[in-house]
Amino acid sequence: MKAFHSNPRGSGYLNRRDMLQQAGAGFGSLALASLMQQMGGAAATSDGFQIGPHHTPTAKSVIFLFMEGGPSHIDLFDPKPELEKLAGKPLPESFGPIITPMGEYDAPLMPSKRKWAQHGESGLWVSDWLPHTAEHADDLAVIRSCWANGLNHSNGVCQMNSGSILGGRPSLGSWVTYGLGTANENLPAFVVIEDGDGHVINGPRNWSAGFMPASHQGIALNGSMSPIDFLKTPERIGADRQAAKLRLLHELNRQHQAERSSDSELEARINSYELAFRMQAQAPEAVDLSQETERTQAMYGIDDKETASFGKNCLLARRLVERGVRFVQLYHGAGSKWDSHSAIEKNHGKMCLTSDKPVAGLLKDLKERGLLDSTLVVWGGEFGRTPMSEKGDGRDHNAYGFTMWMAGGGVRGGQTIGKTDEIGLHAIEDRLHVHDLHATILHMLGVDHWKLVYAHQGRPERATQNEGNVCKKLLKNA
Amino acid sequence: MILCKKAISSLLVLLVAFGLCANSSDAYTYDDLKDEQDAQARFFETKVRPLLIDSCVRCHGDEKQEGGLRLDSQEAFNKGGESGSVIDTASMENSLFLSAIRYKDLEMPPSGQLSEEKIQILEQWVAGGSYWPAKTESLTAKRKGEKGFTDEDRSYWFFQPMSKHETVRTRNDSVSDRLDAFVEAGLSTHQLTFAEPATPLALVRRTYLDLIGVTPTSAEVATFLADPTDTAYASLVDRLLDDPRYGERWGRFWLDLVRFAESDGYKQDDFRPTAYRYRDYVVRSFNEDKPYRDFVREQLAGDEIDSDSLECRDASGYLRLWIYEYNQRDVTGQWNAILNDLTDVTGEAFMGLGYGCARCHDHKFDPLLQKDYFRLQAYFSGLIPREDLPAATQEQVERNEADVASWEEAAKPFLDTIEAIEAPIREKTIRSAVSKFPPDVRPALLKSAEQRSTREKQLAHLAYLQQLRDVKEIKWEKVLKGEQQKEWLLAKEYLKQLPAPKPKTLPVSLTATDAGPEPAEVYIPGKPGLGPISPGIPSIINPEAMPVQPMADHNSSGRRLALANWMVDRENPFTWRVIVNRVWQQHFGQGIVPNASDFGRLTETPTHPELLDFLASHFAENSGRMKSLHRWILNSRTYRQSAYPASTTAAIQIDPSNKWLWRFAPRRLDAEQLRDSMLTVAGELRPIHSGVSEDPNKPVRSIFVRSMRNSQDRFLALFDAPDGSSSTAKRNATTTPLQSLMMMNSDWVNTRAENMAKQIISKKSTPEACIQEAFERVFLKSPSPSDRESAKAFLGVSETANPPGWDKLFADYCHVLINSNSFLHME
Repeated sequence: MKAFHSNPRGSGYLNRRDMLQQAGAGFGSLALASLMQQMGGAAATSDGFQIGPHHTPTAKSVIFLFMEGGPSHIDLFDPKPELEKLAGKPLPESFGPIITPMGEYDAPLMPSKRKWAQHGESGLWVSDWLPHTAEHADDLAVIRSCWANGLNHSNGVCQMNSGSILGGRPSLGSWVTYGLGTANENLPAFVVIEDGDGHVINGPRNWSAGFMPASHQGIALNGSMSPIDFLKTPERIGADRQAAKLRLLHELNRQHQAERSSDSELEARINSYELAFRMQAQAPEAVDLSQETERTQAMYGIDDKETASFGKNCLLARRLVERGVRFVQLYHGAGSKWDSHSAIEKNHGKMCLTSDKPVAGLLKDLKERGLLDSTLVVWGGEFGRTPMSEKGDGRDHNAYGFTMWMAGGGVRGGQTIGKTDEIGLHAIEDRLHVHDLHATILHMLGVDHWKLVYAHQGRPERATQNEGNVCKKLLKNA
Repeated sequence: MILCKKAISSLLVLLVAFGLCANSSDAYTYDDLKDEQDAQARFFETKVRPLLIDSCVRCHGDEKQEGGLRLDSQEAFNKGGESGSVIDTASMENSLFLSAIRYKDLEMPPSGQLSEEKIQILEQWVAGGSYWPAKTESLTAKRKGEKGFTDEDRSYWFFQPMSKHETVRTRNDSVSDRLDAFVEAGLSTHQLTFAEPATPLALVRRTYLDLIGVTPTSAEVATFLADPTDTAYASLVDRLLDDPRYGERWGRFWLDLVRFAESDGYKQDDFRPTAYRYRDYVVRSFNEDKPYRDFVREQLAGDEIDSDSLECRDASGYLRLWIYEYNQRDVTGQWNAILNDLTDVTGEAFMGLGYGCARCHDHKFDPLLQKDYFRLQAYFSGLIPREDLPAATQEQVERNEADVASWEEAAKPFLDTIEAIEAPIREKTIRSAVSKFPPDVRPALLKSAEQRSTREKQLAHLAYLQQLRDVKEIKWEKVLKGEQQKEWLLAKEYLKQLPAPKPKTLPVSLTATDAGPEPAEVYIPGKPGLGPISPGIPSIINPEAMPVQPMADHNSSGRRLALANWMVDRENPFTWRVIVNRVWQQHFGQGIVPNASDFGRLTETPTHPELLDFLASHFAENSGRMKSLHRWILNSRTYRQSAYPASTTAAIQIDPSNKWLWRFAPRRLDAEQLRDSMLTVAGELRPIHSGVSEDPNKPVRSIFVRSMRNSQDRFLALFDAPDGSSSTAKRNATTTPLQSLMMMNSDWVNTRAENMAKQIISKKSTPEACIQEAFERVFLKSPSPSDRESAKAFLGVSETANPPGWDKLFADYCHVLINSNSFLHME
């Protein structure tokens, strides 16, 4: 796919291929990509590869609940009674050499202090740190065998977003908007919301479009006053003057274009101003939580100061997917706040408390509205934590084996997939690499990760870097 | 047979297209099939071989032999593995091979059981006596073995020497005329013709934006329009090439290519205070019209050319542009990632080859071997980052050393006291940090510098940077107790009271050299059996290792200089074509070869191959003088065409994407052109031409704006400026509503409009004069009567009345002008 710059076509005589090329180059024209897809099923890029959808999707949207910093799987979803026996002992050699970032190589193993119970008809194991989430056990597919390559937060978060521990590749949400376009052209298709006043490690790079056109990047919402940067007309200008300015601009542009009628790019720029102002009109409504009933707000814990912050974001996510936003990423603990090298009890106690009810509220609300069937909810961090202690009462990073869960959107709930070893260090059965997770998420959206190709510098690039398999066990209708 | 071929070729296409098999799908040729025309062979080739390749030999082949088993040749298959024979000839049913794929005792392949259909294929094959074709040595025998490149590979145009085509003699035989002749030949083949020349106004604005990156002032336009001579345009080009702003424009495209930024790019995203020196080096090189051959050599091997030259040291900043994670304990992985990054960028930026594809496997489309990737990497295997070379001239260094020496003489007793107290604690901190690194690198960290191998030096260096951080974090006031603390504080106090203050330490260069004459050995990951890889150019050109003499006098391996010298050889098939094509792409919006950093088979064929070779060989013979190349191109008729010719109907039908250059390609200003031009029309651009980077809010050219990888300036980012994480050969040029929102609502853009308005109002008294001035600054021409009328209506002024407050509205008027399509695009 080429950008306008590279392939100036002044014709207005666009063939299907040109239209698609342009569609990729302009956010405003993304609807065009969707249109093309409606017209002829899967659309093809100039290189003969198909952009999506490639098969019937089970999910229209994704809400990715990113617990940033690394939640401890062995204290939440993956009980390890064996650790009780080995408590205080060093890691047995049979587990092989591993690298931990803080380098406490001889730190003793530390069992979980949690109380564990099985929940729902499926009998899913969830610890007492997540009582609300546990109520939805039968909707969750808990994957205990995730693994990744990132040792530290920055490369871990980068990989969970882009597939690679090094920067520069498009985020998964960018691939989704590239493959599927948007269902609501007045809102961005890929939205990111950070919680509190923290900032995700490496910042906007995590939702960047990498080598794709910037139009595929995630848009960070920053609170309900001005949810999108530059969305508000400066106060000293005001709506009337803004309208007058736009009229004059339109006049100048039309006059300019009259002599250059063949240039579709000039037209696209004019449209982008019009679209910008439709966004100005519609985006504030989309993020206006006051339209929600008290009961709904309470479901998300917005009435409680501990849970209000993340609860609002979860509710916002539902409003966005309702309006056709494809990919919503909510960070909880933005700025590595789940990181618990010491005092994990205190840290995770708080992180679970502030996220559990909002997450459960989201699942419940989506279900009540019939949206859970078309919305894939993904929960997890960039890695889990070690069974070895750190600084006595904490745990170090563990990308060798950790837990994520998925619900809705075609996921077969009420099941546990995969296994870690007896102490929760390495994933050993049904191992799911980040690429596999990405392939599976794309699959549910109707995208075949082998077929979705972006030609970067002429080379075929895929979201999963030519790796990854769809985890069939996760699917309701495999 | 025909059917069978078809089936195979479609299977091949599938396998290749979906990247399912790395090195293997092309392991046989159709000729082999002709020799084996029986049913068994067909069955094997169409069904069994793909299955074995796809599902078995990744772990049981030449690269890996899980369980000591190979399944990629008859001999190996019959031999079996650690669990014995995989075939039980007495009872086929009980063969280990079949029970494993049936998931009876072993479960193979472990990634998931084969489909029933596939299992049956293999069962049928075994039942039929597990036929292997007689000729097959190995299932995955490589087409691309060093001696096994195909004729097609060898004849690929990019590996051929540049052709010395002489074109038809033209009127005055200038390079520009000959360039036009090539383009005209392409046009006429396609029943196209050149467009009429651009209007002088369009041409002067185009040339300013293209060569120096900003819109001209109306006075500059007037000067050009007033020159009636034939050489007016050529002199304009000369003038602009001599303008220091030329390097500030053209340096930028090079910085994109080498992924320049001024921060680490990971969690901490630490600022690199002297990274600007490399940027200045690039800008300066363009302005001085440094021959491209020197530009290449200095960046790759500045230290090996002249280790004392500050210019070379700045140039070698190229070797330090990688992202860096300050707390990465896996120093082995980190160093490998750094070398890989450097290999990728060097292959792409200088050689125009997609080396990155060959890191994990032989390139699937081009004759680049995985080994070639590591042959290229081997040139950098002696490298070590340097934190001890001052960013200062020899003279400055000597003066500083003298100052320090005289200060230290006075300070000696106190320094000694402090050292005696601190040294053991520092030592201890460094020692105790060793245990934080993986056990396999600890021994290297415990050795003395002299005992370390080159590889160990490299890893120890990365670890040392982290250990040093620990030392820097020591809170001496708290760590020291009692007498020691008192003594330390007192010494510190005395130091402060010395008559002369401590001389400032010189800034440190962000540069690299070799660790010594002996480079580290390079192995292909997972294939140590292949032995260390020697440096070399792509095997298809020369499979031998490049002989390189260590440069003992420079304490360096000499490898990078050897690579650079090979690159800048006049006959090098890559270097000159690649750079000339890049410059062409900058001028015309598209290259003669569309993928500027990958000339392999994945790019479309060049539109004007002879023209490319003509320009490239001329450029090479001229040692690579950029300014000459610009002159050849800009003075051509091709470049000076109109972007919007009067009659386009036919041309658009024939060549909608303007591949054959029947007009000049109009385009949106890129991020820097737009930002810098806004500052220009606002009259506030501060003329700095080098030095430490500035905050994005400062009115300086964008190339001098601090470029942080993790917090890129919003304006530049939204208009597609790269963030410095990987090499960018061509910018995207997007049109998005977010850009429009930013252009209309952001403080930054509104402030430009306000400053522009203020400045104009302070000079001009009437609304009419202000309108005139604003219009001319932005559009470089006088407003028409109707332009004047609509402006006056917008401001609410008339011949008879100028209501108060029109001047406030005037900023809005300016703001509208800089939002207009006419300003945002060039033609």
